[in-house]
Amino acid sequence: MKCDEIKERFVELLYQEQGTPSASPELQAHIRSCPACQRELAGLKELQATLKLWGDEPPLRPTVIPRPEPALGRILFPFWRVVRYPAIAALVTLAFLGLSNAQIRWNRDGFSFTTGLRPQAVQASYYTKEEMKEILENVMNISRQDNFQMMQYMLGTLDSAHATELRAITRQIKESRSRN
Amino acid sequence: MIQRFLEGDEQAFTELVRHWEARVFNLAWRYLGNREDAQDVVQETFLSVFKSAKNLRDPGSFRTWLYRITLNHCRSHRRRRSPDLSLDDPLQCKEDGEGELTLSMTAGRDSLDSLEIRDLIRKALMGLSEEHRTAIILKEYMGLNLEEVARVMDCPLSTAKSRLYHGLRGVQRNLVRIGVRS
Repeated sequence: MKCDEIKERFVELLYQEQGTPSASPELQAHIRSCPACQRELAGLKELQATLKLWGDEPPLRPTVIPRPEPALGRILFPFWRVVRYPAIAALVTLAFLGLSNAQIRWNRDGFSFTTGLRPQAVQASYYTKEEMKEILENVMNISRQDNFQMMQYMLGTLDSAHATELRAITRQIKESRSRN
Repeated sequence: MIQRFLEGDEQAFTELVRHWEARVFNLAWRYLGNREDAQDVVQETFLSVFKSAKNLRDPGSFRTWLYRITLNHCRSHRRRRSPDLSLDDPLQCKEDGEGELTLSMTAGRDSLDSLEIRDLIRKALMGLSEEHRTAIILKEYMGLNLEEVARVMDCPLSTAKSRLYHGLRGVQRNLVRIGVRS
């Protein structure tokens, strides 16, 4: 048995533990017959005593005891893990509809969905030539109707006033003839 | 206490933390070499224990399970702090025989006080690889037997023995480098 082959087995002699196989007779015999290995083993035993000089020390501060999550959290958390992505998608969709001023209509005329995202067509602040012509024609028509009615009224008024005057003149003539 | 904790007893968990926090702290401290970091690891460890209690099948293996979680957090902490750091403090080499310090068990121990001794041993351990340092800490300081060391390190028993041996030799060499004769 060579020294190099057995050195790693020195721990069997250093730590003669209960329940573990004791060092083999060959190993013990070699140690007894090899001064170099004896010195090395003695050095390791002395080192063990040296290491023991570094004693234990207390922790710097007490450990904070972890606490379990509240019962409600333990119940809701699995449920949240299932619904979180659909819930987030629903929130994003609602936010989009709200911010974009979306309008959804479904009536006799059909279904329509509009948003305020596209810019509305700007209405002109002036009338086109065709529009002006139409307006004037309407005004003229209204005016013509109004003028005709006014003239009729005036004529009617004149006629009645003229008739009244004629009657008054006729009465004056009759009175003057009777006096004569 | 562990069984009650596994059954959901909150008071049992509090008792468990108070019972084990000192050991977890000393494991993390010896691994990381920094007390503030070790305190952070203690907090993270018990948070993990609280969250993953259902993963513990055998209450009898609680100690090894706890230490494994602690070491995982130590490694994560070390990676977060400085991914390229391999040594906490570089070892100062001294010429053999010159200004040699001694850790021998003299009666008065007047050559070094306990803080200096602790610092020298800490430096010697920090000069080891993570595997060797872990094996030494688990065996020499945490009181695990060889099989438990292998279980925590998730390696065969023969590998754990090899790491322990080489770790002890490494500490010897490092102590000599910093001028200490034990």
